[in-house]
Amino acid sequence: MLVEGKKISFSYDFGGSPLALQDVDITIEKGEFVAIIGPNGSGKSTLVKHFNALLQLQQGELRVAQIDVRNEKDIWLLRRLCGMVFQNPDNQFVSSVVEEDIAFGLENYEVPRAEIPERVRSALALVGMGGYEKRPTNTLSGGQKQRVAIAGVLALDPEIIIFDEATAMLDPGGRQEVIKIMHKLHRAGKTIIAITHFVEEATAADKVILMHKGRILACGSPQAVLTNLELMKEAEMIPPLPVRLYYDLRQAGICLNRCPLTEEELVEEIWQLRSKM
Amino acid sequence: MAIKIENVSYSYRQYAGETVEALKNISFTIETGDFTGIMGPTGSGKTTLVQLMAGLRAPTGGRVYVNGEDINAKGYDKSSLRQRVGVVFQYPEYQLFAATVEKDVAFGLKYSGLSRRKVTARVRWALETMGFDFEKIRDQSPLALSGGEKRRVAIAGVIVTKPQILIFDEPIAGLDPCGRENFLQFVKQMNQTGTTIIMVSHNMEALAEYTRHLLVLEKGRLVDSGPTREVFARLKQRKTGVLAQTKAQRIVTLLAAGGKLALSPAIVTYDDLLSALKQELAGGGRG
Repeated sequence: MLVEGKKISFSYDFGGSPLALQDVDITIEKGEFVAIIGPNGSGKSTLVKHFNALLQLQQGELRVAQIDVRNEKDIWLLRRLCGMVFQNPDNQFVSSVVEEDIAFGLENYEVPRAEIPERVRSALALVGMGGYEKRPTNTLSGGQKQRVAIAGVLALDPEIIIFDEATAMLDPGGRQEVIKIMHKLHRAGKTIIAITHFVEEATAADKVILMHKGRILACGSPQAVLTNLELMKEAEMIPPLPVRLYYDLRQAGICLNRCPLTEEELVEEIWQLRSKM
Repeated sequence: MAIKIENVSYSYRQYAGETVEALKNISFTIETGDFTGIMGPTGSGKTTLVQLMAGLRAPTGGRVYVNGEDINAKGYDKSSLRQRVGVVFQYPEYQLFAATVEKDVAFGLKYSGLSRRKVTARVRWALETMGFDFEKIRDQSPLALSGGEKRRVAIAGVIVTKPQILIFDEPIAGLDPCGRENFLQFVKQMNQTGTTIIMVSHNMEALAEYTRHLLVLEKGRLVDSGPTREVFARLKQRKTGVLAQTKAQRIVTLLAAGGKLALSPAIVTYDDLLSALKQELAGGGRG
């Protein structure tokens, strides 16, 4: 197990109510793609910020890659193993030139100077930004900025990459760019944790964690969580369009064979039903 | 008409002395009481256009009229423009600053000349409109609220001056699905009570379901405009169309693959798709 947490509770004002996290148990396996969904204020970001000790554990236990997050001497190792990409592409740059921005992280971790150019180059190539080394960061599109931010994390060769609503501010094209990279990195063996408000992005995950008011309300396959209307309603979430359509058609007496999750599955189901008419 | 943009261009000076033309000879009008959406990829000039309409930048070419007046003409009273046009920028919650919610929201009325009692009544109205219990929220620190609450407080601080024209730049980015719907319902209500609404968004569903007219920007040019449904139908034909489509439109395209199931090309929203499928599949799959 890569992430193993038990009974994690957290309060932003130490003991004040309500708790931002309440008795959260969580396990994440190496190489898993985990999507975390839930309304604003449900504790998604609070939870993942424990994984690299951006927030200090107040109650419970948490080990990430065998490291106890309370061990202060391991904190830099932990942060290197567990990289994070945030929502706002403009708030993450420390330098105005792409390659310098990526080198910054490497220098902080005292990577030998001679190694840095090659690591910058290969990280940029991985996110499809090869050739942009000398570009000023303010001339990039939103999707490109996020990809540079991802490269900055990748250069440190992390085990886990956390995307905290990394697609929220992007246009539809930029969102697709970032989603593609997430899946590419997953195929390359990285563990991916993606927080998102776009339920469609969760349909391709290995596991979906549904949070509500500081608790994990459900954890399971996308099929098990996202097609469960009552569960989604309880969490104040809106299911993906194919799921809504499946139930709305049912109410009109039209029953597709099974509840589809993706647009492609929906189209298959509709074709199939129609061929029998 | 509320806003008229006439042959407007805007150039930025960039690094190394290069100039970048963010807007290239754009013209359009927005009628009073309309709900207009603006879409376009990152860097297409949407935010620059918003800043021009709000009088925060002057165009390098062309004219901007608000309620028939050239807002960049000599002698034009810009402070009256601030009362007429309210702008909610991206992530407005980053702009909260006062010690209490009440003070933050009241800031926009500081020089309004309204009596203290009237200011309080307005602040109450603005916060209640945004779904808060005024007595509960008024003395809280805005910085201690959740992200979604902060955003609603920030918007209350804009609507408190009762602007006739409200411009939202990416208002729903980062909101959860219910938060999005609640917010859009609120904007719809503001529109129904007479406020002219302009909304920049990347969310195709929001634009399709709530706006009446649509402006499409691409690389600083206005490439399409008109009634929302007509623009969406045309967007399907454009090269960049796949990304500038609603989910319902995408499903219609997928269903038509290989000539399997052709639904009406006029389908844009979820409700359109649902009723078309109900008709098409009626009597199928019973039991």
